[in-house]
Order: sequence, then C-alpha cells, then structure tokens
Amino acid sequence: MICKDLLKYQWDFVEGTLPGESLARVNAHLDECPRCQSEIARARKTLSALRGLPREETSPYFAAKLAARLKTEKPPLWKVAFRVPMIRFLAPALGVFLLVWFGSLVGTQYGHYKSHKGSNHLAPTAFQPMSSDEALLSAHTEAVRASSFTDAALSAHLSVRNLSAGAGEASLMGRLVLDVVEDSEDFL
Amino acid sequence: MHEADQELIRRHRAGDAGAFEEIVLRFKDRILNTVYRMMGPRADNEDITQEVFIKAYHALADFRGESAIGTWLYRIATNLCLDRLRQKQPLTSWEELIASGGEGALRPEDDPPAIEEILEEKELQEEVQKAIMQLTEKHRAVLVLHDIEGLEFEEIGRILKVPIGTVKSRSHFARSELKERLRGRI
Ligand SMILES: [Zn+2]
Repeated sequence: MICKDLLKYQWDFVEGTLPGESLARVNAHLDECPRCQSEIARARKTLSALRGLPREETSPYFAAKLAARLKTEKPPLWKVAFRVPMIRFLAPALGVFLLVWFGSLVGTQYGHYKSHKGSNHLAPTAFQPMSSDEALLSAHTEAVRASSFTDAALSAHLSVRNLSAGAGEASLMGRLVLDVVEDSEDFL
Repeated sequence: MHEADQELIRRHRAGDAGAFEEIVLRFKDRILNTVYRMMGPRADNEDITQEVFIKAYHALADFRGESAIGTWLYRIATNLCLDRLRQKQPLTSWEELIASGGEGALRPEDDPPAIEEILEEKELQEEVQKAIMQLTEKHRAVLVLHDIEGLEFEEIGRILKVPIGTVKSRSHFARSELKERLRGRI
C-alpha cells in the first residue's frame, strides 16, 4: 500500500468500518509511515470538530411566530380547491363543460362576424364575450377572488379535510393558532 | 414509516391540533441547526426554518408516508436551503448578524473576555463553519446531514434523491476537502 491508497481508506478506517483485509493493509502501512499516521490523526480531529459543533436552538418565540404566520399565510388556492372531494370529482366534467362553452362561444362570435361581414365593417365588440357571458365570467372571477383571500377559505378547507377524515369541528393546529399567540408559555 | 409517525399523521387528519405541534416541537431545533450549517450565520435562519414548517403544514394532508416525517422535513429544509443558495442572496450585514446573536467572529470588540480555552474552541468552530461554507452545495448538504445531523447514507439518498453510492462518494470528498481546508488548524 502507498500513501495515496491510505487516503482512500482514511474515513472508513477512522469510523471502524473498513473490512478485515483492507484494515490489515492499512495497519501495516501505518506501522511504518509517520506521515499517514498524522493524516489519520487529522481525519479523526476533523470528524470530532464537526461533531463537536454547538447545536443551534430556536428562539422561545418560534412556535408563536409560526402560529401567527400559519394564520396569515394561506395555502395556494388550487391546493385548497383540490382538497375538496367534490371539486376533485367534478374537475373532469368541469373541463369538458369549459371546452364546450368555449367552443360554442367561438361559434357564436363567428356567427356575429359573418353577419357583420355583409355590412362592410367589423363590429368593435367582435370576439369579445357577449354581455351575458361577460357577467357570468365576472361573477365567477369575483367568487374565486373572494374565496381566496378570506379566513373562510382556510376554515372551509380545514373543516372539509376534517369531515373527510370523519372528525368533528376541531380545527387543525387549532390550539397552536388560537392559544399560542396569546400565551406562548402554554404551548412551550 | 414508523408507527409513531403514522399515528401523528392519523391524528392530524382527524383534526387533532396537537399532532402538528408535536412535529414542530420534535424537529424545530434539528431543522434550524441544519439550516444554520447549510446557510452559515445569517439573521434569517429562523425565518427559513419557519418556512420549512409552513410548507410542511400545507403539504401534510397530502403526505403519503413513503418516508419518515423527519426525512421528509429534512428534504424540505435541504431543498429550501439549496434554492436560497442558488439565488445567491447577498450576505447578511454585520449589524443584522450581531443583532441576531450570530457567530462570534462578528462580536463587538467590547465583549466580556472569555477563558482562553473557550475562546480557542469557539474560534475553531467558526473556522470549521467557514470551511463548510466553502464546500459546494451538494457536498455541503451531505456533510451537514451525515456528520452533523447524524443521518445514515441511505436516508440522505432519499432526501437528496440520489443513489447511495453518490452520497458516499460526496461524503468522502466533502470530508477530505474539509480536512485540507483545516490543515494547520487541527
Ligand atoms: Zn503513508
């Protein structure tokens, strides 16, 4: 064995995981090579320095801050929506409906375009949704927008999850969210 | 997944508020320590740790239990740190570090004098951390998870989604690199 080989085995050697035959060869080399003896000593010291690093600890307010952030930072809307079993179930049907709706919309507008063609000018509103569609779309948008920024969204998401798990009204993280903010001692 | 983990998930899904608390209490310090060793002394390490738990909280309902909760949290933490490191955010200012009680290298000069040995040990710890920060991100992650957090190579493979052989060779390289960087110091 040469010194370069020993470096290859140094970590297994200091951890005591080197298999028998290799171990004997390393030991034989170490018996006659002071340089590698010091390499092994430094390897040991490196590991003990790493393992001796002080461990960081969270501040006493960690849980209270986390609870406050969980209360204000809502999950993404799509995540909430897709946890509702009904929506998950209806998603494919909704997709088909939207496709058909979009198709009929294009068809209708094409009809408008055709009918205006004869009058030698294109109506400025061509290819825009008709007023009833527009109202429908904006109502949908408003509903989605409203649901994503209220506490109701989160509580609905939680209660749906709880109901689906067969639980009652108790809310997830309830104590952490509701109690700890006022009294972190209780939690910690 | 351990039985205790399964029980926590079951309680969480059943609406037991205490389940997530238990997870937070059990892992908060370990996750913070991992973040600290990955990111170095920064004022926002605790914020990053909070983000780990926020992500975990929102994802826990979908957690399939293919791994232990700890492994899963370490994965979220490691990915978050790697993302941050890739963004190459500017280093925290000295003032912020001092305010957050950061590493001793940034202590104000009028700190009360410490016993020589303690100071020496502290200096060595700072040098070790500096050497860790000089490793590449993937080598650093393996070193932190294995030699500091004490995770097995197999678990690290699951966390980083790389084969165990890759984890072992990264560990060998990271340790050797660190040893060389600390030459003359230990
Ligand atoms: Zn030698």
